[in-house]
Amino acid sequence: MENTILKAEMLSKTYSNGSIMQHVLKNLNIDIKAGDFTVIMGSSGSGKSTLLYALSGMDKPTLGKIDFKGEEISKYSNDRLAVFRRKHCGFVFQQIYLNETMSVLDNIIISGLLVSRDKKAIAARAKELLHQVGMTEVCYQKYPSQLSGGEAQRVAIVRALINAPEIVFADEPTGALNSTNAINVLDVMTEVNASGQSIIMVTHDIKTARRANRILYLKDGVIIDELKLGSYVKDDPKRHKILREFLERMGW
Amino acid sequence: MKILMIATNNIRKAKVATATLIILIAIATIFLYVGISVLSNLDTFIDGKNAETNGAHFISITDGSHDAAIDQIYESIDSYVSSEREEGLMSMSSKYQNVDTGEEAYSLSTLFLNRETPRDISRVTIIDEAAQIPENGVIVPYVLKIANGYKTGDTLKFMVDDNTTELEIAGFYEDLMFASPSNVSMYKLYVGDRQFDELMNQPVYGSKCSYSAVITDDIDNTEAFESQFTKDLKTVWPERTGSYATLSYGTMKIGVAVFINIIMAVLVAFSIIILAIAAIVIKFSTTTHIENNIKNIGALEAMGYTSGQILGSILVEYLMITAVGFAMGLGASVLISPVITNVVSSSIGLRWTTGIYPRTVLISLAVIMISVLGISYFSAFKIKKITPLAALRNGIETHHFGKNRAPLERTKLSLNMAMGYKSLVFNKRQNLIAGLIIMMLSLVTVFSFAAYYNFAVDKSAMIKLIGLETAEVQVTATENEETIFDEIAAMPGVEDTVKLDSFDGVIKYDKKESGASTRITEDYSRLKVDTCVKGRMPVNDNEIALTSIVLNKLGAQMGDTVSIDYNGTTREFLVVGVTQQFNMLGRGAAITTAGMKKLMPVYQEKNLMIYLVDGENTKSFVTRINNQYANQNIQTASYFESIEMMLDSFEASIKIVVTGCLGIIAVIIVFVMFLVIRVRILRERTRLGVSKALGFTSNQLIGQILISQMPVIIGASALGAVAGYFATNPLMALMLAANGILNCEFYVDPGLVLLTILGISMLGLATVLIVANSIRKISPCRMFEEGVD
Ligand SMILES: Nc1ncnc2c1ncn2[C@@H]1O[C@H](COP(=O)(O)OP(=O)(O)OP(=O)(O)O)[C@@H](O)[C@H]1O
Ligand SMILES: [Mg+2]
Repeated sequence: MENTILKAEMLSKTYSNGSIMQHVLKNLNIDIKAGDFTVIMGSSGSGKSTLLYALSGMDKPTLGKIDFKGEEISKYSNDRLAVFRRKHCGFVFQQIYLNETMSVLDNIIISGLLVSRDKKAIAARAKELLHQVGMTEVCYQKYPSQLSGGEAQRVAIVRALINAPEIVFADEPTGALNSTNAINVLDVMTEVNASGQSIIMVTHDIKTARRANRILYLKDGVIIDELKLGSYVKDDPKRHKILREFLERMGW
Repeated sequence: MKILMIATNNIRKAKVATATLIILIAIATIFLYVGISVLSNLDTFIDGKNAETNGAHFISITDGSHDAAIDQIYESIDSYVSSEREEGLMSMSSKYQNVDTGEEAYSLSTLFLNRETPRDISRVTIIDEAAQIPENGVIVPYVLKIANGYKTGDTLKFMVDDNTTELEIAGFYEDLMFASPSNVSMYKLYVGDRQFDELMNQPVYGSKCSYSAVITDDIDNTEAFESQFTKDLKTVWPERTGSYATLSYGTMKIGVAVFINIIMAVLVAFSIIILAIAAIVIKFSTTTHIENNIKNIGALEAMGYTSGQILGSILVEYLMITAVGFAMGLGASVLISPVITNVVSSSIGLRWTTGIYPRTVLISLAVIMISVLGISYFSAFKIKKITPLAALRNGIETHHFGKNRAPLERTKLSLNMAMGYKSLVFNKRQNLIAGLIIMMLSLVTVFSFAAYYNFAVDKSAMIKLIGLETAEVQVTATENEETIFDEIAAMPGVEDTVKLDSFDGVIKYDKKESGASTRITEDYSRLKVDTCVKGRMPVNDNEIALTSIVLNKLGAQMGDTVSIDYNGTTREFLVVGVTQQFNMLGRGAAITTAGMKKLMPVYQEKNLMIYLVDGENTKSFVTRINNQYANQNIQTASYFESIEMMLDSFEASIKIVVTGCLGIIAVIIVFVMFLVIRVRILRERTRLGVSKALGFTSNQLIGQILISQMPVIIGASALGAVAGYFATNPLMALMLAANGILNCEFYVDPGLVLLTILGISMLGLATVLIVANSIRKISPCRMFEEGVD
């Protein structure tokens, strides 16, 4: 479990709004091991989403380099990055972003078809995953704007998982979910992680963060501290306490 | 003002749409303003021009044998004020060639007057006068300068048969009565004393005539003077031999304005088409604006803005756009006024001056404001019906989800096809509007091409509208007609001959009457130009066909019985058909030879139309006939050439106008296509960005965009072009309806229809590729960001 899958060095991202420059990520270093369940926490506006976009090759960093299994993906062209993402990554957007022109099922299958041609298998897996996150058949042919916020979020999660990617990026995937649904989703994530897929997740919720084996705390574009938690054990009060103390230290 | 803020913000965000609308409104303004200003001021202008030179209200040209009787008739008519009489030379079969412009010789009758004769009616004010008028100097109509490019100092060759005299152009004059050969196919030329005498002394050049000009006290009723005069003259001089012609100011004024009225009607029609395009563009941009901003609108409403305020902001937005577009259009109208001056001047043969007409400005402004604001109000009105909640939830109520047509689970479509297809189907309503715009554009393209082709390239459809035969040669004989005509028909080089006469008839119906140039021939099916638009041409001796202008004037219809008065004999005729013609101001009638014999039992055909076989030279044929019948009393004319001459002055103007319209249509097409396609693709930015994030490559996405855009573009351009193919003639007829035209047969080249479809599709494809290509360089995150038009 010690081999690094994703590594960022001296990562910087600067947004310029007219004459105002905003340094959102500052010389940030990060190292993700295969099979890690990493949670990134930090206050609103600290740069968490920006970091996920950069790590997944969705946005070019202003400076710094990102390696995936020793390949420097930050040098890739846009299209090569697209192919990289489809092969190796799954992404859950904070804003969900389903394709409003197609049904729930098609939204998931379309991602699957980028990797495999076996429609039957993809559809079967999509339905299986939807079932696991608590979505019924009624939803299959609905269009995104006919879904509730929580339903849309779960569809987005299934879409990210459909290709069993090596790394799943999830930006507040439980933000719109009630606790039962959140637990269902997190169970699926934990299961996926147990089978060897790495997860990098942003969350504001301690219960959600408990699932991780490491917590990174981001402040003003810098990772100011890291907590190693060890593999997830259900209903472990000590785990909860350590985490809470860590966050209090961080001024959360 | 909050509303103003929202409005300016909308304008800033939708730059391309704003620019396109401004351009459309500016162009519509130009066309509308120019069209209306010419149409509404022409009449006053011509009257003013005529007053400057104390222009004649009535003119008669006779052989001089009844001068005293004619003067007596003048004086007996109530409205008569004064008259002048002078001697002239009338040359019926003259030909001209301007050596300096290198043009070909053409036939046109001439009336020579002596420049040095003092006159108070229709005074000659010389334009571009030569510093020193040479002995063979000639003052020619202004139309030759403006339409044909003649200049002072040019040598004008005057020819009758084999006799030639060279004249030097020493200046130009304006006179409504002889303003343009399209009106009276005769030049009135002023030469100096010596030249005049020289011409008079050579009988080959023509015959002496007596020219008299009359001023009345009622310039608006000169036709009444003319018909009273004609009636009275018949009693004192029934046979009316020799050269005889009368012209009335009213008739000539209408005649001179016919072509420019057509051109201006074309302009106004174009402006209406452009306004229609602007209307759909407004509909398109408000709809997309509302769809794109539905959440903002919802948020504003949730904050407490009323939908009325939001609607108001949209109206303010279009009000500002219209104001800018209108101002620009008005400015451009002033800039292009030299072109308009040229077009109008060359078609009326008088020096037109363009001014600023406040009334016209207000009318155009009202038309444009009302149409733009009306359409934006109606297309934005649905905001009133959207609740904030529905708006915030992406306007669910405004969208009807159909059946999932190609579920990916089962579809056989490829991945890109399926995605493109889904977005195509999803955007039904927007596709419909975009398709409608593209349809309009392609319809207008076909229409403009057809207008150009038929006005400027192949004029046969125009000639058909004019209603004259296309015979190359016309022979008039007054003795031995039958033998001569039979011999000519058998001559080599002759394809066909038809005996066709005409006389100025007076048609009566139920106390109303109308003058009509009445054609006489035995069998109308033998004519090459069919002017019949309803019913049929007369076959029996009691049948008649009339133009719709005559029918309207009489208040008669097909199936009614009208009567013709001919030298005291009155006969009744049944109206069996409706015809159309520009010629003779649209006043025409047609009866059979047998019908004419009922009016005049001794009637004998005098006029023969000769159609030559292809490749036969008209000039040499005319010479051959003249030689063969040198000692018979006949007149030969190159008939078709003079029609073409008549069209020439019209052609220059219409060419400018249709070329201008084609250019403008091209600009509009490029702008509107770009706008529509850009808006459609930008709207999908977020979706495209997410697709890219999921791992679609740029090529895949461009492929999907092509699949979702091109069917609409290709389908709409094809539909529009085909519609244009069928709608061109009805549209044209509609535009010319005021001139009595019910039916047009303009040639619409199927090749051009195909070319239009291809051209617009290619333009669409290029635009799609250019706009779509911009997603290549952008990372997915950038595409999520808002900032959509
Ligand atoms: N496209 C952009 N242009 C300019 N500034 C941006 C852009 N995207 C993000 N920012 C800024 O970068 C900073 C970090 O944004 P980011 O979305 O990464 O925060 P976050 O940590 O995910 O916050 P949250 O917990 O609220 O989601 C913010 O201050 C934001 O305003
Ligand atoms: Mg975020």
